[in-house]
Amino acid sequence: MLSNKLMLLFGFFLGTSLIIVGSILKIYGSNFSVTFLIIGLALCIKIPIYFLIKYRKSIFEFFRK
Amino acid sequence: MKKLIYYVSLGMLLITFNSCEKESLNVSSNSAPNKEVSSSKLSNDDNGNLCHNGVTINVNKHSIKSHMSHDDIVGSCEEPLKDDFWFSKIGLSSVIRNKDNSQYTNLFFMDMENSIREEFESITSDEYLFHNKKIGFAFQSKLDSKRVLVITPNGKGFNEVIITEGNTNIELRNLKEDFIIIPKDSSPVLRCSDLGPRSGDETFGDCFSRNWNNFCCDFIGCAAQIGSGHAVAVGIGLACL
Repeated sequence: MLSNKLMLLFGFFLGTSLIIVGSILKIYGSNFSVTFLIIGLALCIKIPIYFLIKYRKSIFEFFRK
Repeated sequence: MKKLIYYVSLGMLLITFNSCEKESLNVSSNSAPNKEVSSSKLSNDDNGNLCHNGVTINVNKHSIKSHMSHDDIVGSCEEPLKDDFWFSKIGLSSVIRNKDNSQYTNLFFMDMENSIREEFESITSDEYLFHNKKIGFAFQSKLDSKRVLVITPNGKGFNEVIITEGNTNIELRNLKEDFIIIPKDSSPVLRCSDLGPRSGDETFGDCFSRNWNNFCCDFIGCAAQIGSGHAVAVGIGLACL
């Protein structure tokens, strides 16, 4: 079983690849570009959300001061 | 299990989004009045006059490049200054200067007023470019860096226009006729139709900047560019190779 961090890294690279393909499709005028870009963005955005949840206590404390 | 639910819901969301987009496209293509409105808007915004072998023709802006290669001149043959659209584009985006020494520049100033000669006359002229194609000569003012005298051949003689760039508008003064004032467009319109792979003589840099500047033409393009700009840049780079 892969660890969480490895899964995130894999998701990030997969998301980046999907955005690259989506961008190329968008430039060539294909409607499928929307699907690729949304899935790619969703995968890439998972990383900041993961760290936001993991370190939420530290972040709240930082802003309280 | 949670991941499965997440991916299934994401997939359903995407299917709904795509079908909504297709429906909206169908509605716009089936309803005649909408189509008419959009086509008339396009003709107003995207068309302009060109002087082609002494005859005025109305063309779409996307075909301007090919016409320029036949030495066509921007504007109509008879009244070149009446075409606000093309002159506004020239005034705003195409005063790109490359120094070009010329021994014939004094010929341009033979019939001009003394005040204009004193302000603009020079033995060196700049190339006046439009879509990277030289269409005339430009003379920088010796008094004001934001004033340029542009001279373009129009088939019968020359158009002589002084372009003065202000803070909110651009003044175009034809030396032989009247002058017009065009408001500056501070927010350029982004169009998805301007996206596309590299065309014939376009450089990689031009293709990249064209696609990069217009990529934010819709919501998802904007989101991708802001959220993952590096990946979008790679995609554009690959498409422009």
